[in-house]
Amino acid sequence: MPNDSRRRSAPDDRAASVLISPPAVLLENITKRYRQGSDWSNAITRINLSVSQGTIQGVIGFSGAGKTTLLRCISFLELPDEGRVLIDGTDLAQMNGEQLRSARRRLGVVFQQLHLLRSRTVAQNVALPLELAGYAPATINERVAELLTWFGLEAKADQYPSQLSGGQQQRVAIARALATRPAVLLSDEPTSALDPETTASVLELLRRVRDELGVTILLITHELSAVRAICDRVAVLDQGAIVEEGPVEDVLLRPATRTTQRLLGRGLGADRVADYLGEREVHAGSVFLELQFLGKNATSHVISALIRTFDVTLDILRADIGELNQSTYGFLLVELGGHSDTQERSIGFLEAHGAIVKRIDSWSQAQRDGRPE
Amino acid sequence: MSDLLHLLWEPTLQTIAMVLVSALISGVIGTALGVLLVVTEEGGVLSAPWLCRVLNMLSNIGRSIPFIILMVAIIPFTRWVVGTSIGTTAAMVPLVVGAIPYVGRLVEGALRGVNRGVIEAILTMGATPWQVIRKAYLSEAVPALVRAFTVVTVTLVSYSAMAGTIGGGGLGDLAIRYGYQGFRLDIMVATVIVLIVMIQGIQFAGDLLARHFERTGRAGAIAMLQRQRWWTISPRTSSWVRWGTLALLVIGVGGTMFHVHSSSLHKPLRVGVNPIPHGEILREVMPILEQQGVHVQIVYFNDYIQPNLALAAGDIDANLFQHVPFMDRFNRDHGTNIIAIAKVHIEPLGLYPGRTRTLGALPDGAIIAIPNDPVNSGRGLLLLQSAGLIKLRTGTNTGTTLQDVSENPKHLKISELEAAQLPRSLRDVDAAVINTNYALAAKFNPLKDAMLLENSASPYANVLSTVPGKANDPRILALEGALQSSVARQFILKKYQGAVLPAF
Repeated sequence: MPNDSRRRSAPDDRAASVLISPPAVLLENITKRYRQGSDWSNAITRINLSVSQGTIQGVIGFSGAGKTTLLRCISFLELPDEGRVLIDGTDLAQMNGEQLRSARRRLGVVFQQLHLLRSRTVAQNVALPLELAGYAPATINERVAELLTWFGLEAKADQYPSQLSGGQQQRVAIARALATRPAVLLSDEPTSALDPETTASVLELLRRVRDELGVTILLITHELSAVRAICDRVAVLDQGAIVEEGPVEDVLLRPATRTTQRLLGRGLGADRVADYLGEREVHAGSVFLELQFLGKNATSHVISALIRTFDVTLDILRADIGELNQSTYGFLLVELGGHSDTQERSIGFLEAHGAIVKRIDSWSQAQRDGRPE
Repeated sequence: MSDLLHLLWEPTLQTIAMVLVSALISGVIGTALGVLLVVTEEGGVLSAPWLCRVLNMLSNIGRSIPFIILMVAIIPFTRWVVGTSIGTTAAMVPLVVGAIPYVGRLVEGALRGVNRGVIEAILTMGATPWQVIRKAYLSEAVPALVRAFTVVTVTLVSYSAMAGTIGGGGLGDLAIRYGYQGFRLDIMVATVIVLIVMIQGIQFAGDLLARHFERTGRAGAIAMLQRQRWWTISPRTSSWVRWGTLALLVIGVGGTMFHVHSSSLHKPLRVGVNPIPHGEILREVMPILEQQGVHVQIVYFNDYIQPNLALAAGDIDANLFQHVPFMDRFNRDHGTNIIAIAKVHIEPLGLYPGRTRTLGALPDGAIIAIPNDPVNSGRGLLLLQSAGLIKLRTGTNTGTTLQDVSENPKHLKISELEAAQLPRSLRDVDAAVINTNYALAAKFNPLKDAMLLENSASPYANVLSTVPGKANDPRILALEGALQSSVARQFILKKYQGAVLPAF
């Protein structure tokens, strides 16, 4: 069973413990059906997911993809029709009574609407799970003070939720979910109603929760920015099934499915190029490329080296450069002009310098001419 | 003015007692009902659909019984709970029973207003069903519950007005007895003012508390007081509020029980009367009885049925409101064995002018109202026959009905009305046969105003009645002596100016 020493362990130790511990969350073949009139339809179908301890696992999908149903099954608000859910190695469906209630405390849930109790102060909200678990008042006060300090909420202890900002309420909800020292934190759309600055601080807070408290986080969201910012791995949910799962870098940089590409807002082929091109002239014989860079391959270095080395022109139609899980990534849509021979060598040069190059083959002069004005 | 305050004081206390105690008890039981309605429904935290259906049905049945009927229907239950079916304490029982389903429905509504997500959130924290009820449903619904209880309390104030039917007293009874039946406009207005003040107060306090518990911002009167540091309700003091409420409840219930218990120890002689003139005569002779160590409790009734039912059931020891023909008929109809032990006075039944002022002026087809209870109806017909207005085939027997009219030369239209309503019907009829007590209350002087009056040899003398088992109770004998004393005689003659005559 997990204990404090494991939860407090540094990230480095965690890497070792992953090998011997059971996954923090294990979803095996879970299927949930809903009745629609006389028909039954699957809300989620055969979901398999294993989340290692200490991981921040994202689950992303458009609305209607089955995220809510998945959340309800994992938090045991509903029983899946097939398959099973193991939290920290235990199957809640096999339990009842006090055993079940105590097992539920291994999973902290932060709901999208937070569901803080209006009648309770911040401190009383955070104390709630501890009261339910039957801790002594002195223990509760101590733990609540510890949590409020950790979350920077000491000054708000005696205020009511209605007196707090959205970001503060979110912090209270996370503190409450962590009160009973759960192994896993399930967070539903933690940033959906927040402004960009607050979003960043809430996500940073979640990362600290993992890094400093060792809590495994399952983050359910429709926002790519949240996944990019803190997730280690991501599962892409579409029409109730996981269509793609893997490390964030792999999934976001080399999206294998159309759903992921749509989530990323790219990969839409020629039409998109035309949109970015606008009214500009297209040089004869030029080709269009999607370039992706990650980490140390500073984009501008590679681009400037390319231009110095080869006799080519390179116009950037779209650039998307940012942070991906604490390392830099770049996505460029470029028009490469010059000899077809030189173009080929240039592509080889880019790939040799760590860029992922994707040729947009469907683009052609003929299509451009046919484009309606 | 001081007379008015004196009259208002006790009924006000009675109303407060009835409302407070019944609100507290029905509040507790009704809250439990409301909680059960919510948690036992399908998918609730204590899902038990069959129980939910049963409770739903019971609530609906409870809600659909008119209060006045409920009050009479549960008399056996009332007697079982508090030992009597009349008086202020007894009135609390139907108030509680009537309010429980009402409270239940309001509480159910308040709890359904709690965000479903909050319930699910607390479930994921590993809450037991009881914890869900206490820490989520009840705590989160406090503002809504406060508003619901405000509504219940106000409703109970108006329900308590009907308590007079079973001798419960209270402001509503005062307004009906003195204001409506007694034509004392000042009392009616004063009563209504007290009720308005009471209800305003309840509503104001309820709104204040609800706003306080809403915990939104700092607007509202309590926050204002807090800023002025007059009064602070912090989370710590709110536990005082909680314990205070509990203490109030315990004191309320305990006080009621103690009251019931102690009153059965003292054993006052309980005598049921109509307020005028029976109640006035009895009040007049009470000092005589006190001197003899007999403590009398007067129980007022506004009708002619309840005093005998209460007597037969043992809730009162004697009554003074009826004459022997009425009593005989009541015994026959109800299988009771009530006996007359002393004639006290006669209240001659009179024919009073309505649209027509004199007997001779009664037109052909004139409308004449008579009382609708079987005895007084017959008595009224006999009175009309004595003036030659009609002829009855039963002669001068009592127990006559409208069907016994054999000759009606003036084609009178005789309509039967509730006795208490007769004075108010005068604008719409040519004349009405009215019992003297109601005539007096309507400010008639029977000797001067009546077109026709029974003579004092009438068989309809009002008697002190009791049940055989109590006929030899020395206290009853003392009562009989007091009612037939010279004090009583002088009082009757002087007070009623011959409209009521001693019958001893």
